[in-house]
Amino acid sequence: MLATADWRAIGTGVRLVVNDGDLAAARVAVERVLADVDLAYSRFRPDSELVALNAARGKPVKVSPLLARALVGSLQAARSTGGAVDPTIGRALRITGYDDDFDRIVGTSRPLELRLAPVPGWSVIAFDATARTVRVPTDVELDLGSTGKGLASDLCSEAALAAAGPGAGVLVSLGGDVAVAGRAPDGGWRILMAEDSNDDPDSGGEVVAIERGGLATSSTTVRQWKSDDGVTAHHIVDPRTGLSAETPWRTATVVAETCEAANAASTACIVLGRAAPEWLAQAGLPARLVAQDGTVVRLGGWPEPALDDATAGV
Amino acid sequence: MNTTETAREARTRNLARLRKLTIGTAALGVAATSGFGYLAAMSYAGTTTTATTTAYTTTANAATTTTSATTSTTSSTTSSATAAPTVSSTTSTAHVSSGGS
Repeated sequence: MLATADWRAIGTGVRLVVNDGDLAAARVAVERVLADVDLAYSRFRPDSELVALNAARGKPVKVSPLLARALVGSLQAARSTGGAVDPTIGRALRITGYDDDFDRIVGTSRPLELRLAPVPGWSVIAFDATARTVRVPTDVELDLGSTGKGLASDLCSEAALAAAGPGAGVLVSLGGDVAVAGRAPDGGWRILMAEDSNDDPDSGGEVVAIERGGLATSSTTVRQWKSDDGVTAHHIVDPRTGLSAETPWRTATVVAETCEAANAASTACIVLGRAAPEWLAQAGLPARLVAQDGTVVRLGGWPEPALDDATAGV
Repeated sequence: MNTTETAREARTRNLARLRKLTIGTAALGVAATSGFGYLAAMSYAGTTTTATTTAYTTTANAATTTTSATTSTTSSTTSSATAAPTVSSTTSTAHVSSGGS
């Protein structure tokens, strides 16, 4: 029997689905993980570890195991994507206008002074994993939003599964970044391919199922804002320009062994643009890319929709 | 041609030029000081004080590297250590939506 809980945390919607387990206990476990994540690597919380690290002006900083784990993930993602996903985009994001929790900046309008310049690049980060010390040069700001959110989904699913009881299965979605663990329901965990993660899962369209791992979608159409002179920006920065990525894809969905890896790959697809299909083929990851005109490209074993009337562009 | 158009054209030119750069090329001018080593079985037990805090362990293998700053964005490959999960299509009602957020 499935039980579901929805709420908001870390600036996004949370959905927890438990299969044959204790939903209340699982939710407590997820909330605890999200509180830890927020304190470790929120870019908008003055008392977070990440904010302190970004303000350390080149001095080595000892970080918590959780932040160290998140940094490892971001650096691995940077390597595996050739720098298309890069944690040193923090300053570019701030300059582009993403300098507060998105719930507070959406709908606002203000002057932005965009700067066309590459981000410093992940190789400037000195990270000693054994000592858990990190040195971030002056004027470099880290943002772990991409891989960090995927990692949070993974950690939440692990914690929820442990709390839900023997034989249970769980699905955790943080704004559409989905991680599943334990026993899946018959037919697998079913996920609607949507334009917006807030869309009702019952609203119809292409539905896929996974039994394990993670699924993540990156999009340029939802988390976007405008400057007071009408320039539209979104949250996926192209490290080559320091600006919001200009891309042929409006959404990219990828399935991988973990949600962290799926998010890194989906973000990379947006940034890589036309090179994304070749990169995905090399990575061996199933993916669904939606072009700006609504054309859907399915790659790496991503199935054709089962519904005859599935909306191709959704 | 007005000033706005000139600025827009300049921006377009600059964007095109920058996109030809690889990430690595852009990073070459910066000291490559990363040296993160092997990290295995990193344990995270949470920071809350409640007795029921769930301990969980994550494993990350970050190969020792001196950081190659010459990796090309377009020619890079990812290391997918294990096969990706299978995705199937279905006509059943979804449990969750995935899209922009």
